[in-house]
Amino acid sequence: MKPFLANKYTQLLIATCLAIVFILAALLKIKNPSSFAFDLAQYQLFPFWAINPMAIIIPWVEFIFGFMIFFGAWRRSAALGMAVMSLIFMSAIGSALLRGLDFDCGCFGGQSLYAGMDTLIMDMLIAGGTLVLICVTPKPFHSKDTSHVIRTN
Amino acid sequence: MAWSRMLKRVLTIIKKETLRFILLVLCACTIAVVYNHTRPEPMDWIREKDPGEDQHLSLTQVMSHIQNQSALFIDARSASEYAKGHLDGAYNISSTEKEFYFSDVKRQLKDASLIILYCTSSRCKQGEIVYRYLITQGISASKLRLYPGGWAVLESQKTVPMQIGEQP
Repeated sequence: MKPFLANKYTQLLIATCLAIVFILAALLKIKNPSSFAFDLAQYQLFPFWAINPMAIIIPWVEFIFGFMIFFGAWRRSAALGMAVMSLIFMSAIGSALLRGLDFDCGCFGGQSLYAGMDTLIMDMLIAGGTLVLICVTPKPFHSKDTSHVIRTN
Repeated sequence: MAWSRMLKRVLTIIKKETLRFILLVLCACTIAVVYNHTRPEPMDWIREKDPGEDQHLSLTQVMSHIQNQSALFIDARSASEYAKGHLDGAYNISSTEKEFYFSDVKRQLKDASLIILYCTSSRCKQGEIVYRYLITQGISASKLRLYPGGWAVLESQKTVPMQIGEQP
């Protein structure tokens, strides 16, 4: 499994998918911050004075992380940021599920994606992808791995 | 053993990358502040009221508003459901064609001091969709309320005035 995850093309694919998801989600929220603020308030987790600053800042943090991952600059730091964000999102959605709240998760700026198991699984996949980018150092696919060769002499 | 090695590796990476991570967050904050400031309609940094805090009304509160005629009611169900029966005096803003219906009742909504939205039942989403839409259209969140019980509960109350037919 590790050689596959360390393959530079696999890493490129994971990085591109993560970047697209984060940039798309960010742009939809940046376009309509008041709708995102409404979604944040629905979680009933944050004090009301923190809602608007969060609705203004979080989309740009997502955008910057997605942008850095896409262009391969400071990729590990950006992946670390994405991991932290997906952990926060998972906790928020998990707590909403436990409390029986039923509302739009706000993941894609009011695109009617309800906070439920599917969004939780999506966040888990994102967290998994970011962990691969953080922990596994990319290697070229054709690198000579001689560990499997049995020495006969 | 493998897990402890993995954890050690993750902690080392976190230590190494924290400064860059903080720099990226600061950069994002700066862009967010500048962007919000240059928007044609910048968003307020401090929220006046949290809509999630007191948006839901109980049946008793709704019944009191019906009897006193102290609120404007919005039925967020589809036009066909509305035509089959709705609260007397309620306007229909169907969640699927909200833009079309909104223009018809825009004036009444702006003038109303309290707007109560309802849809089919506690599991329906139309009320929330219309609620969100009205906020984006400039209707103050402080005068918007949701009745989660919906028409299913209202219909079962004998004292609730009911009307049949489409919106004029």
